[in-house]
Amino acid sequence: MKNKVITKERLLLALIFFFMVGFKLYTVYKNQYFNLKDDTGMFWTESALQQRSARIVAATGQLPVLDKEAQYPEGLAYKSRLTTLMEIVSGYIYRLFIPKQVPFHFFLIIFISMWSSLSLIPLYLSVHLVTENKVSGLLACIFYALTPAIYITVTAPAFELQDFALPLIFTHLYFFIRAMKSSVPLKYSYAMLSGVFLLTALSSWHLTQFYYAIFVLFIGIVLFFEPRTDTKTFYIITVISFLGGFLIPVMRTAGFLFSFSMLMSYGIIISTLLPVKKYSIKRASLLLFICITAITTIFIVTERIPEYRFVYGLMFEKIRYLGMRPADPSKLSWETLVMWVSPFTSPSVREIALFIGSLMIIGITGVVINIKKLFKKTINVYDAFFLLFTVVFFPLYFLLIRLDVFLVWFLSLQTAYVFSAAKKSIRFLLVLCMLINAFLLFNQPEKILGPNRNYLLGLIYYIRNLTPQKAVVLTSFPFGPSILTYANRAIVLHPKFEAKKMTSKVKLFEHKLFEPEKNFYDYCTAYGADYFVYQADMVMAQGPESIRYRTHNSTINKDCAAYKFHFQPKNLDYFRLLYSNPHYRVYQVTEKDSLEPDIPVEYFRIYDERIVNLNDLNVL
Amino acid sequence: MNTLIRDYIGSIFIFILLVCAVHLPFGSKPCSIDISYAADNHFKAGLVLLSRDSLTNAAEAFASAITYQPAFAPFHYYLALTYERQGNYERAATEYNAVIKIDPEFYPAYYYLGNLLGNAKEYEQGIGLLRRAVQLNPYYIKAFYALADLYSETGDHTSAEKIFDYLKYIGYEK
Repeated sequence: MKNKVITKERLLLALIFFFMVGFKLYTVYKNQYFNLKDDTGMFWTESALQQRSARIVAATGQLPVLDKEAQYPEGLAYKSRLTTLMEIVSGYIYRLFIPKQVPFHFFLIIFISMWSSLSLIPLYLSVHLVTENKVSGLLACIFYALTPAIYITVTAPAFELQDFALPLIFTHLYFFIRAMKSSVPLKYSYAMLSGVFLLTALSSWHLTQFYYAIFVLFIGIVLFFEPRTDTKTFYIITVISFLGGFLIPVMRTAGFLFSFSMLMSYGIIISTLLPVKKYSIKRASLLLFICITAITTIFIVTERIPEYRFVYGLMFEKIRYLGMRPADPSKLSWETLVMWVSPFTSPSVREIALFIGSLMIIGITGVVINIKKLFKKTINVYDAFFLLFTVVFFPLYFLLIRLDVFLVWFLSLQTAYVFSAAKKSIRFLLVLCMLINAFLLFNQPEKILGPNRNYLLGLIYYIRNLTPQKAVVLTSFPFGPSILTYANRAIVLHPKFEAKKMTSKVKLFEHKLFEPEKNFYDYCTAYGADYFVYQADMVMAQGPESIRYRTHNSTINKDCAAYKFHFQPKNLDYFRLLYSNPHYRVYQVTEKDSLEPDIPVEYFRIYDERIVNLNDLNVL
Repeated sequence: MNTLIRDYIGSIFIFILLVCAVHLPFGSKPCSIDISYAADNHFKAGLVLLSRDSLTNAAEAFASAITYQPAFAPFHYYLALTYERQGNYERAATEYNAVIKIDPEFYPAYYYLGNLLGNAKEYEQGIGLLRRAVQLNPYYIKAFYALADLYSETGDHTSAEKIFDYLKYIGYEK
């Protein structure tokens, strides 16, 4: 009888899982730009770069140590700089198990739809573990599956690292709780599983480190209030992470062993191992170590490992300005503004309502129930653990919309507490909330990531067919991967800021655009660019995500390179216009002496300075 | 006990697999792979065939390109031109409409479709399309002439005169 019940629940869980996978695939398939026969322009920016890496693995079984095409001329160091685990896993699965008649891009969509839906399993198991109620577990899973936020990235469509790393993080959490609840020797085996899942997540997504910092903070808080807490599980996880810091090249390069989370872990371990019996001294030592960690982290971030500066800098400024950009962009550095773009922006009320829906209300109710338990001192350490994560991810979500996937998982978990506490008569309200979310899910507006597909295809078609195979193309950093992946040409800039020299190259590029043409030409020749792709929004866009905004060029003059690229291509001395559509122009980088007669290109109003209102563009 | 051993072995296995995955699949050789896009090949073939007046084969080639990449306006545009040259005006109009739907700024499609409808004596729609073409490109001389011709055919000589005045103003005269 018991077996039958378990089978029934597993069947229901499998149904929810396949609903999630099916919904993701259906949404991608019905997207007007999804094309089974041709992958050109399917993914955008980082996803396109990741598609290419996975394609290389699938075709050749390996990635180059240094890929000059992906970052010309110095080369992109995949092994030591990028988290390529997702591409390696997906590439090898395709290479070894998938018939080659299945288009690779379609396989990637199936792969990431299935993998990202695996977060459901640790959710069910965690709820089951803490509430010991199977129905609550299924209910939390249904809420999770009906929340639109978890579908956003995959259905964009995108092939994002976070969708690969999140199921690993949640599985680590489940095993951590299980280890805490178990007695020796099972405790150690679960702690090891928790540690290896965390390590796998750390090696597949750089931002896992920020989750890890919160995790360590929780341990610190628990130990501060309850110094007798058993910390062996935490020791094992730290040891595994420490080993990873040595053995995983990307973590070694990023100085993981000296990251905030690791420094804090060392501090916690040392304070618990101090041979003192007085808890007050243990608490004081813990506080002291946290302070030392914070100061050391600030030093490391600002002086030693500049890669961390971008994210920490963004978080600091976001807190400073309460998530709202200041009216005057010159108050913020380029480094902060370049990160303060989607999906690192704050959600609007509309976005919260549309993407989280009624889960927000039910989840908050769960949080309130647990806070009551906390004040009554009836809360156990596991419930407190999930409570802390849910509470911490609220402000983090309001600072960075990308963190919605964490919040949704923890809010779904909180619904289980509501179900357990609610009377039968109130449970119909839960059903109502589910229906609301189902309605929101099935009525989501079609979201298309990236630029206008037709113009993008026009540009890619031109570069792919009408430029030399060995040509090097300079574009803006988000656009580079589309040229690399779909036009198969080397690029100078890409969006992986963790790559060596990339941030300084991007910063220089964006500033040189608004300097005289000769300066921009010198930049192109310094990096060996043969072609430059101009985007109309380099001059036209002035909003908070534009290049003009982040380079503090609210007004520009007619002598700058960008103005000439847009309005006066005939007046350029070092660039020859070859192709034009309303969004993009392709220029050949060429010396003045070698200038040939202008090639006639199509007329578009957007590039006509007699028609465009220059006052609106703040042109001096 | 079995669970314990299974979990330990599982953890060690995942750990080893992870370390291998981040170390082994990297080589010093450049790994550029050649990718061929069928849509490009069909389109290029179509352009060659069109220039040789092999219209049936050109139409087939452009139609094949569209099956691979239906969201790209130039594929539909050249198919429409081919159909028009074949005298297959109905299908040409369908393709011009497809171009406009994909790219509402593609002014040559407005011009050719406007002409097509003007020739079919559907003046109102033809004039509307030609007006849109010249709005999108105020230097689109042949579209202005076509528009003036349609105005004249419908008896609206004032509008036709205005167009000629404008052309004179911007430095073009028949």
